[in-house]
Amino acid sequence: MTDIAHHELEKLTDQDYKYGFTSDIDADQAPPGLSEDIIRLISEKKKEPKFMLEWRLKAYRHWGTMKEPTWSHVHYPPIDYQSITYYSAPRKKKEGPGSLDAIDPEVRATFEKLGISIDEQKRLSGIAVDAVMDSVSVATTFQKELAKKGIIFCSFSEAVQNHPDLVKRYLGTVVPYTDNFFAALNAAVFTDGSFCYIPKRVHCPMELSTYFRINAANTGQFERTLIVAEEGGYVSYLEGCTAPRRDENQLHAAVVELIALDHARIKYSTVQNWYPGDKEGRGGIYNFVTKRGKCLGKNSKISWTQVETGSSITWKYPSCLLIGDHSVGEFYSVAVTNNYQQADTGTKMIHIGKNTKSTIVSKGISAGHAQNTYRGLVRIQKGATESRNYSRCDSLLMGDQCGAHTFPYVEVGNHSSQVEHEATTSKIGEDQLFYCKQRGLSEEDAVNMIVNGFCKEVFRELPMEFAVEAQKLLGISLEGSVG
Amino acid sequence: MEPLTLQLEQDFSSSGFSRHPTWLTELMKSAFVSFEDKGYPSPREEAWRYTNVVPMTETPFRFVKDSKFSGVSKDKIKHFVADIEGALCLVFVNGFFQPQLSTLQGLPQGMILQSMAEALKTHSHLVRPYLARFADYREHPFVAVNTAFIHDGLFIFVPKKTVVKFPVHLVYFSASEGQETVTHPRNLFVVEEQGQLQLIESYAGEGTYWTNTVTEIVAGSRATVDHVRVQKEDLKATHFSSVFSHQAADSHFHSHLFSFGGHLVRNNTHVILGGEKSDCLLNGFFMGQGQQHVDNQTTMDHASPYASSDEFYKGILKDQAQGVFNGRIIVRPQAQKTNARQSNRNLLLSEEARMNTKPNLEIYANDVRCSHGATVGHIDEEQLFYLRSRGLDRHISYDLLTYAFAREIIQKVPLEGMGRSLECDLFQYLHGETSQKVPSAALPFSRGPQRTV
Repeated sequence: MTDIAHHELEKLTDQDYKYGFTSDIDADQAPPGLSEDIIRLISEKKKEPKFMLEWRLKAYRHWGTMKEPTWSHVHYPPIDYQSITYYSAPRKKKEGPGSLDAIDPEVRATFEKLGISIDEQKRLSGIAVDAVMDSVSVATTFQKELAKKGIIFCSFSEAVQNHPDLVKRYLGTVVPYTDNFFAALNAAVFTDGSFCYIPKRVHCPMELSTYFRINAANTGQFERTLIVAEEGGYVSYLEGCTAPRRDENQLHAAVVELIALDHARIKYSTVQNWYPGDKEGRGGIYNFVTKRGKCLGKNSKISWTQVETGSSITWKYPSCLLIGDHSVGEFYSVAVTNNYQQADTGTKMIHIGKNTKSTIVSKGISAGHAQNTYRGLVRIQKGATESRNYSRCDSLLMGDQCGAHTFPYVEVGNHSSQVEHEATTSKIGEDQLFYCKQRGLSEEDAVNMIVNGFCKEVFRELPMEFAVEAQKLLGISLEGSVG
Repeated sequence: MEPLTLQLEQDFSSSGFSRHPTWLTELMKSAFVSFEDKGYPSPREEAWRYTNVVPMTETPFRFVKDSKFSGVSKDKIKHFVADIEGALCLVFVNGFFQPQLSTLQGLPQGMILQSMAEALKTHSHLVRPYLARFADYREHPFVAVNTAFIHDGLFIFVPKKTVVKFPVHLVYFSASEGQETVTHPRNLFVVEEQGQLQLIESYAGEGTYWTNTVTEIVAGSRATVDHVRVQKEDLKATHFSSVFSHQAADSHFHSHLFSFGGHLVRNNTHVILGGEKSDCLLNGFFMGQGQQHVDNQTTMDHASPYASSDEFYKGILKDQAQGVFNGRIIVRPQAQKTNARQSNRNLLLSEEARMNTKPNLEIYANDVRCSHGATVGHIDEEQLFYLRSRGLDRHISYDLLTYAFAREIIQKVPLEGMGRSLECDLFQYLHGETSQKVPSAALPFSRGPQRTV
């Protein structure tokens, strides 16, 4: 590539992280460290019923017996779990539940600055938002309107108070606390998150979304999202996240559980933009997340779409358990890593029911010194006859210090199913660049266009507003790396 | 402790390894220590995820120490020798070279071809620099066991600019005679600058035994090495084979693997593209039926720029057979302009067959073109329909499509005579007639091997 192209690419990847500011908010914090007392404190602060505390303690005790996993293709210094603050909540000015007016103006301003309006009047084309700052949900919009249709959309803490039966029935049924190290940690100390329940045959009229913000220093964010779609229900759910710029690493270990019953459909989209660290790789969020959906009913469908641009380390595999006959799982992902970012991400599609189908489209872009890994499992169990999977993983390399890796696992246990996996790795073709330039495009535009084209298959799956944001984000994260 | 470990320890201490020159004794000792330290691989290890070796460690396979001829006749061996004109044929029974069963004539000048036992005595200055250099026993526990028991095998040294016109055909035959025995054949092939060599390794036998073989191939700059491995072990046997090759600049290494027999089989191929513009072709075909478990491991290590590699593995699984493919392509930071391709296609012919495939790409350089693909499926109904619409019955159509699927790999074998012999093997194994050799005229749709150059 020419010098100009190199320069353009550098410009393109050099843009700064826009959301790196901190807000000065009075917070109610627990002392750092992890023990049964801290867990009791969290449970008490959230006024939880007894079954929750017991569940947390069981998870904590189990976590104590587990070892931190090391099999991934990421490297980081050991995490000191005793130096993390597990509870930090912005203090409310007025006591009293729920009212949107009771929110600290500073908190409100923070979300305004992030482009998330928690005023229903300034609604953004019908998106209901649950705004989570550090350990607690500060506001949830459009609750009343949704309630008219029987939809429950609230923070997890509220759900535990108001709908304990539903929480008890579904919590931990997709990701049990024994699942893995970080899921166990999350189960012990999770502080908030979103809860969403779609009743039978209800098509959710607006996009639901949760916006996560880490603000306080030295804290970890551990949230839990649970979405249940009853028979014939439909919901499209979005998730966004940012964090301030800091030199130390912060841990984010979330759990997301989705349950789709007969004929239900859940569409889950993520634009992950945690602080990625600076150019030398200092700071940034460790994003170690367990996301899993269960297609429990026949003909159900779960679709994951993710755009991963932030975090110094991303380590997650949104998965689908295709249990119901004829159920469908989808995974669309764009993972962009630049500078010293590392990503080890992909999916698991476990085919259990008959005639189940899954599609995997993963696009990885690696620039600077970054390492980008796709790791995926497609398992067709013996009883999952006539099942079908198609996987495609492409990687684009920009820069001679980065790496791109593909580790697919394909396990087929019967002969009537068909599985295909394809992967390619290359850099931006000189011939493609030449063609664009020859048609009068500048090198910068050409690179932008090629990269966007590379990701288009995934962006198409995102809801409108998110697609626009994702495209912008892609430009920002890759600034300065064309070359 | 596992019965196999006890047996190995006992055999190792009485194998007389200390009679060798110091360097070799040290090597064998350190290999055995490395095996003892690491122990058997567990399915928790990534490379052994789909293959469990615990059941085999229950059998105390005994190491045969003497080369006593075990009554294997030339006729029996003939069965396993491909009919290739002018090929040099070297026969090993229970791991020991049998000159009376072998044919050796017309070696080019300067070329050294000796049994490993002989070479360690007379040409140790040529063996020493290469032995265990690329076959890393610290990494692979069964390579460590082989290294600890180095006793016989074949050593070939092809000096500069020497072209060996006739293929060299090695036949390893195990006759366990009711006892559970193990052989550890060790081959080393060194081809210097611009040398050319064609090799065929065949493995066969009778009874319950374990073959644990390691082959090291060193190709100098602009050298060409063709390598064919044919595994037709007894269906009760355990077969572990590892090929490690290292290529210098502008060299060519073409390897073809055919795996038919064996109860528990693991074929490992590790290629290091160490010189610029070297190229490697890895073809493989494996077939499993009954209770067979066939595991194929390949590593393509691109360590130099401008190198290219092409890998193509196909598998057919019947009955309750299990197949594994684990293919790794590594592109090191310095290996710019690499071109690497890998493909694994599998055909499942029964409800209970199982296939696990894991094609990996690890890429640390940016200016590369790498791709891999893997498929698992069954016979295409539309293709079946097409053939049946032309008047073939379902059964024949099914066979024809299965046969055609496998034949694509056989066609790539460049050696005269080898292709035909492999087609016969394929036919026998597909129809479960493993004991008798079918004349090629009996093949319903064979038009003879087509050569691809």
